[in-house]
Amino acid sequence: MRTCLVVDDSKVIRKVARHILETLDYQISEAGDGREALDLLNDTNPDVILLDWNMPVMGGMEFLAELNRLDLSVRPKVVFCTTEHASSSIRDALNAGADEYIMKPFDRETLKSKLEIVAAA
Amino acid sequence: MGLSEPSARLLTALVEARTGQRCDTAGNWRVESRLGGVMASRGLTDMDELVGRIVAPGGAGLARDVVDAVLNNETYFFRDSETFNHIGRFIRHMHDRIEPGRTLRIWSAGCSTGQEIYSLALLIAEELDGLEGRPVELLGTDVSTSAIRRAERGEYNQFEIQRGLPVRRMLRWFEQQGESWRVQPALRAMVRFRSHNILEAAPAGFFHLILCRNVLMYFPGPAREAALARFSDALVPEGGLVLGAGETVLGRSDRFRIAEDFRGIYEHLTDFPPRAARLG
Ligand SMILES: C[S@@+](CC[C@H](N)C(=O)[O-])C[C@H]1O[C@@H](n2cnc3c(N)ncnc32)[C@H](O)[C@@H]1O
Repeated sequence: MRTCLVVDDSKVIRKVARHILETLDYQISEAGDGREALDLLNDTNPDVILLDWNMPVMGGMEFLAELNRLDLSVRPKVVFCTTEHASSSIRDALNAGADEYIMKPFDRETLKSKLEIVAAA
Repeated sequence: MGLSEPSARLLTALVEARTGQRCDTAGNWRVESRLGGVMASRGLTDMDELVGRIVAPGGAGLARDVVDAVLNNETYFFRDSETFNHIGRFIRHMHDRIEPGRTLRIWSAGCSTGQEIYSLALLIAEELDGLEGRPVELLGTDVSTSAIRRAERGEYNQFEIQRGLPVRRMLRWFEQQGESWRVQPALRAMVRFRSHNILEAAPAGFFHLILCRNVLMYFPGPAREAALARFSDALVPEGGLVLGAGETVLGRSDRFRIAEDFRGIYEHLTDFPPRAARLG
C-alpha cells in the first residue's frame, strides 16, 4: 500500500484529501503544519507528501527547504497543493524541489492523475 | 420533469441514428441533468416537451444540441499515458520509414475537446524534436460541434488542465489566462479541427496513424465493423490504429493485426485486396 502525508492547516481539506486518498488505496497520515510534518518524518517515510503553501508555524516552502536538508535514502515525492495559482508561484515551487503541483480546489480525478504522474516519474 | 419511457426511446433512437452510439437514456441521471441545460437555454421545463420539439418541424438545431449534450465527452491529456509512449515510438518509426519532406498525417477521430490531439502535438514538439522539421498534419474531428469549438479554442479550466498533464508541461506549453489555461500558438498551429461523423466517409487522403479511442465502444457491432473498415480505407499500409484501452479490433476486422513492437497499436495489413494507397 502506498503512503501519503497530508500537510495542511485546514481540517476540512485534510478530510477531503483523506477521503479521496482512501478510495485510491493510500495509507494516510496528517500534519497541520510543516513543523508537525517534519516530526512525523522521523518515524514514517511516506511515498508522497501533499503540501499546502500557507500554514502557521512552518509553511510549505520552508518545509520543503528543511526536507531537502534531510538525509533520506528515498525522498518522498512532494506535490504542492495550494490556492496559489500564478505561474510564477508554480515555478518557484518547482525550483524549490516540488515534483508536482495541484491548484486548489481539486477533485478526485485531479489528485489521482497527479499521484499517477509522480508515481511514474 | 423527467423523461417518459416513449420519449427516452425516441431520444435513444435519435442519438443512435446521428452518432452510432447506443446509449441508454432511460433513467440515466447524467443524460437528464445534461438535458436540463438545453432546456434552461430554451425556456422549457418539461423533458417530454423538449423531445416533442425535436421531432417537430424546425427541430434540427435543437436535435443537434440535444445530441451534443447527451454524448459522453470525457477526455483528458495523455489518457493511458503508457500508450502515449508507444505512440511516440510509432510516430518516430513512421517518420524514419517515409520519404523526407512528405507530410506525416495523424487523425484523432472522436477527439472531443482536443486534449488527445494536443497531447500528440506536445509529444511531437517536445520529445520527437518536431520530427526534424518534417511537415506534420494533426487532424481532430468530432460529431459534436460544441466539442470542436472548444478544441479549436484550446482553453481549459483548472480541473481539465490538471488531468493527465504534468505541471512542467503545463507551464511550458500553455498560457495562463485568468483562471484558465490556453494552448500556446506554437502547438495550436500544428493542429486542425473540424466536425465529422465517424458513420460517414473518412476525411480525404491517407493517414499514417488514426486514433479512435473510447468512441466505438458504444457502437453496436455492425456500426463498429463499418467504422473499422473506413479507418482501414483511410490508412496507409502498415499505418497504425489506436483504440481505447479495453477496445479491440479482434473479431471485428481482419485488416489489422497487433503491432508487435508497439503495445496498444494495431498495424494495418498490406495483404488484403489491393488499394491505391502506397506507403510514402
Ligand atoms: C469519451 S470521448 C473520447 C475522447 C478521446 N478520444 C479520448 O479517448 O479521451 C468520445 C467522443 O466521441 C464523439 N463521438 C461519438 N460518436 C461519434 C461519431 N459518430 N462521430 C464522431 N465522433 C463521435 C463524442 O462526441 C465524444 O467527444
